[in-house]
Amino acid sequence: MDFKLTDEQVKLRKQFFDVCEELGNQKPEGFIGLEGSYDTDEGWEYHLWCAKEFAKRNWLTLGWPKEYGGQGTIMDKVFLSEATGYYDIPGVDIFGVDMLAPTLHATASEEIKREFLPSIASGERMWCELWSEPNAGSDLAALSASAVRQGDEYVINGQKTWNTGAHRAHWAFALVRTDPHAERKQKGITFILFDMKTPGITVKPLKYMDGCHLYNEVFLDGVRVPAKNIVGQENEGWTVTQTLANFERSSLGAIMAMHRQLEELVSYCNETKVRGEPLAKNPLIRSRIAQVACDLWAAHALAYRIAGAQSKSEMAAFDASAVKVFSGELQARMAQLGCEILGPYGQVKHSRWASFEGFFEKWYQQSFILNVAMGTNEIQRNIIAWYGLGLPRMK
Amino acid sequence: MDITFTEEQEMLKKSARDFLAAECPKTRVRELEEDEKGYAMAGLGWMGLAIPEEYDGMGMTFQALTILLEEMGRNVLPGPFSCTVVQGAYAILEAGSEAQKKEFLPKIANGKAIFTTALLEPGGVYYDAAGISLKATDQGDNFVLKGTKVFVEMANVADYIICAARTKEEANSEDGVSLFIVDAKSLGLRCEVMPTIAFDKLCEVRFEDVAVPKGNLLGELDKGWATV
Repeated sequence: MDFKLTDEQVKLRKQFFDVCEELGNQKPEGFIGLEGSYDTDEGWEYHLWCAKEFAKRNWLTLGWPKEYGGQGTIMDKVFLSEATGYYDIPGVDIFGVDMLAPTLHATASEEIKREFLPSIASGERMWCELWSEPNAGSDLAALSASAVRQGDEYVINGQKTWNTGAHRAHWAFALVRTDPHAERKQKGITFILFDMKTPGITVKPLKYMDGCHLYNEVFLDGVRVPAKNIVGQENEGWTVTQTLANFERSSLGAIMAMHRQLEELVSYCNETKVRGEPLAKNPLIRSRIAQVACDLWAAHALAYRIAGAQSKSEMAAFDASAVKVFSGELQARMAQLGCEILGPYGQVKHSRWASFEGFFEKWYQQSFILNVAMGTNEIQRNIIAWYGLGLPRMK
Repeated sequence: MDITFTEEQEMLKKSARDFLAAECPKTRVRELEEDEKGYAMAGLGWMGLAIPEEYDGMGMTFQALTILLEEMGRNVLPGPFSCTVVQGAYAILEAGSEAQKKEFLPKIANGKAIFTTALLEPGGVYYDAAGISLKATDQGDNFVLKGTKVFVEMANVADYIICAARTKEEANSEDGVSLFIVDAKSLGLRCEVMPTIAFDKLCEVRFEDVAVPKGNLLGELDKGWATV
């Protein structure tokens, strides 16, 4: 194991950080995290603009095969996500760039790759994921939205939910049931792509607890999609989703965001005086901050180990679960610590009274979803127990 | 020690629970976040519960009040009940003159006055006396208040604000703090709701040379911190 970066990696990583710092100058006030991209029009415009800025430098294709315009390695992509995480810069579409593109490289036909990869590389087309349903979340394979073949089309009916950014995204990748009679629920599912402007699609907001519009319900009523838009084979969509387990899952973006938050907290504690003494001299505060810093460096080491192993295709599936659980729960602890240190001001939303544009209040509320989305931490712990520790599998 | 409720207390608990379940379902709680008038009305009928009968109250005990607060909490009843009764009425009962008790307690008991308390100031992060720097200056018939308070609960709907002000600079910061009952409609008083995680109507209140009649000094001059 060697975490030391080569000179070239150091140079590239610095370039990523420099560009992200510069892009940060254009950031709309109060912009934060994933919801920053989707909640307001100006946030969405900024997301699209950053995507173009990255595309211009060929940074949306890091780790792709050369014949599709790729450059660099998956490690380079890790460095970019450190930089975007640290400066909280959008532009790298988590659905298009992070999830769909690697899925297409791994499983799609040449025709599909040629049709859909270029607009991801250019940052022009943004994607959303239509997977979860009211009765299929953690148990995703129980999904029931149906797609029935009619000539050259599938006709899709059903309801999806918790669809991040579906009210803004241009296209969707969905999981639908094409064979309701398959013997196992994982069979008979198909991975399919369609334009969110297709007739029959209704998007309704599911406001998050902080009032932001990030999630949606999506109703599909007789949505007609060209049959050629499937990824992989019909009824084999579950296998397509499993390739995602092999993609970049180090959580380094989230970890670098925490480094930034820690730095801000430290400087706040150095600068803020109570009874003539800086907060930084309060033993309780010092001890709490030091503990978070220990955890953060542990998370960082774990994430680098995963990223390194992944770049050599060596990762075991439970490693990513471990870092997700650890860094997600750390994010919750850190945001809470930030709110506590800010005292009564910790509860104030972005306004002239709020410290750090209300970031800690927002991060605090967002931290709850981190431990639920993309497989709840209970599911992740089950995976660790089963794959990692050899405990009996739970149904 | 006997921590069981008396029959009367059980009745109070049941009637509060039934009343709140009927009058303030969860959907209503949500509406009240946006409905300032309705918000100000919430719980008014109970204001007099623990106020002595001589001041138009029902004369019940503090324990009875906690039973009511427990039921209000159970129902997530928003509104100015707690700041009016627990902060306002009790401060007046504890520190007020007979004239003040006669003037304000019946208003509270009859649901005609909402009270709140203004303590924290922009610089102060802690609830301690050193954080009180809003100045009250003696000017004949009035004290004149100048400064800013933050996190003042429901000042946007309050009729009176009990404000902790600095009347004297002393080595011990707990000396020299006085309490004033300030009419919320006073000239020079500005109130703005701060957006918070719980949408709970915490306000910034600016006192721009607000004149407060001397009769509204609550408790002894310079000795207000003990009441706080």
